[in-house]
Amino acid sequence: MIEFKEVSKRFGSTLALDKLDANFPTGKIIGLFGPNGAGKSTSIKMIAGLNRPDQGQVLIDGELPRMSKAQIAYLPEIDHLYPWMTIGQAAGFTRSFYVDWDNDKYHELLKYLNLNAEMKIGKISKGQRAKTKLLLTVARRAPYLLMDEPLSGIDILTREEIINTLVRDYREGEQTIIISTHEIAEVESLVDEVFFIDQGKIMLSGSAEEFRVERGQSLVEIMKEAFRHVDQ
Amino acid sequence: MKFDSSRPIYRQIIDSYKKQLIRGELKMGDKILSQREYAEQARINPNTVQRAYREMEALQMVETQRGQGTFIIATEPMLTEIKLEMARDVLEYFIGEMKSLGYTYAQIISMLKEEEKKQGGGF
Amino acid sequence: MSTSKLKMFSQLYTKDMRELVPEIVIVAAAAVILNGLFYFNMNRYTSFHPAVFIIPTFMVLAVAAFLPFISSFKLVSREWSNNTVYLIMSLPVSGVMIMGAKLAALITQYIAGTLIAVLMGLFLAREAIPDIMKLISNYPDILNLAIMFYLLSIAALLFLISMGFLSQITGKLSSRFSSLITFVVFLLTFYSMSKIISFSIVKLKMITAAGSSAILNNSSLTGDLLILLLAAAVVFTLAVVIYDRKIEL
Repeated sequence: MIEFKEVSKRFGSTLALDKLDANFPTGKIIGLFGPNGAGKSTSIKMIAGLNRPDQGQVLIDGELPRMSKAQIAYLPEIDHLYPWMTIGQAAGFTRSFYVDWDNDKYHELLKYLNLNAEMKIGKISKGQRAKTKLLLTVARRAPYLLMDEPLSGIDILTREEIINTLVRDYREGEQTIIISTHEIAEVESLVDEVFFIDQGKIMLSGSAEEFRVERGQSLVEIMKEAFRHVDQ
Repeated sequence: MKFDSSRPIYRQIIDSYKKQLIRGELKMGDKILSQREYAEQARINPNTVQRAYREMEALQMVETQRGQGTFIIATEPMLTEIKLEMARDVLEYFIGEMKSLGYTYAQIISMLKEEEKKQGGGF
Repeated sequence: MSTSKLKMFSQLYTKDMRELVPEIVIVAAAAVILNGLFYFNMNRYTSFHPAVFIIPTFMVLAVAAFLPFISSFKLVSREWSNNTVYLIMSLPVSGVMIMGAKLAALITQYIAGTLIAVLMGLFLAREAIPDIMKLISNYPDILNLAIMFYLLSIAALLFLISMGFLSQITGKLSSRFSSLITFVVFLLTFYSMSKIISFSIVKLKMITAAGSSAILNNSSLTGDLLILLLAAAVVFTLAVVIYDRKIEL
């Protein structure tokens, strides 16, 4: 379980997180939805240990994020791999740091995603880079998978490949996936729990299916309704 | 399979199986997709599929045997019941819509009789 | 998949070395070109003292010694400009390993570069003075001193690189004034540390001068060495602590 306890974070004059309180349950696929600048990336980075709260606390299974890095597989929005490395070299690099690396899965996913270990990361297309990032995170059996905008700017076919990969390899109950995105429609049928975040606060959260039962609305519709006032 | 995002997905899974049973596309003893296979093919959350399958087991529609798979155990009386239940749902919806258009029961019945004549008795 | 600190370190080290390969090639090329120039013009220079062949060696040595310091800035800043710092910071390792691997790679670059310079130089010298190896072996003291100075140079480089790291890391604390802060911190650290170093050296020399006649002797140089290493350790530790505790993305 990942807990945010009254977390506030300021970047210069911007208040990115405003006494944010949230409990991300274990073993579920969680959607973190909100408009740009809502605080999604900041929250994800905080879990990965890339920044720290000004106030409040983030706990991963009761530990601080900087002590839990081995449990986290982080997939940032930007291209963060060494461009001169081949996919094979990047895999070799990654697996030296994590005991949960599954080499059989790596080879199997390499084929499934139509990638080649000899491909140079700096020379491949954007979609292939997105798939490479996915490959390197999913080839690990990490308890927590954090994905920051995994589908943005990616062509439709590659998006399908990415979602297919997530579904087929997801270990329900054991693995927790947090997907932060503003493209809710793509992951509508993928998420168990949703957290709607805006201006650094959680506005709405709950089970996706329960929302559908209670409101008869899709998550996209709920988001539009909840954030209508923001556009004004 | 396309899912309507504004209705609970697990129920849609169960409904689709019910329809297949009623239409005779699935019979007693048939093996259905495993939860994982279903999730992969439909590209939806495996947890959701799990919920659907568990409810189908509680309804005694299916049974999972370890190492073998999940099988239909729905009996004839159950099928009849399911068919009736689904028919009632459609009927409720239909009557509701017609009423909201302002039709009375008498008018609805005479419209139906006309349809029947047109179609030559029995769809 | 099993993993160990050694495996992790060697991955980081290899990755950093890979970034430094171009510089080592530059040094090797400089060595070949400069020595080659002198070699092929040997006839013209026969009127000069054969020791003039030291010149290309010293030139290459200067390049070999200077480059690692420049590269220390590149190794850190590139992580940020390539966004690979997102990868590095999410790895389950402390800053000691991250920075330590860079330090080790830069020292390797220095040793490789200087070795190339000296070997090339010796090779050229042997053409001019065939007995040069014998000549050198006749003066073991000079050899000892040379080795001592070499170790001292490595310690000095460790110190300079650590300062480079500290000033860069401190610079990264602010997004707007990054370069300015780096520059200022570097100057400040250099100033304060060199003051400390010269003070300690003077003190040490006073102590040893009392009991010996030689101006330069090994024990005082060893003292200088230890002080430099200590200074480097302090600065390096500070850089690592700031990286681990204060840097954010």
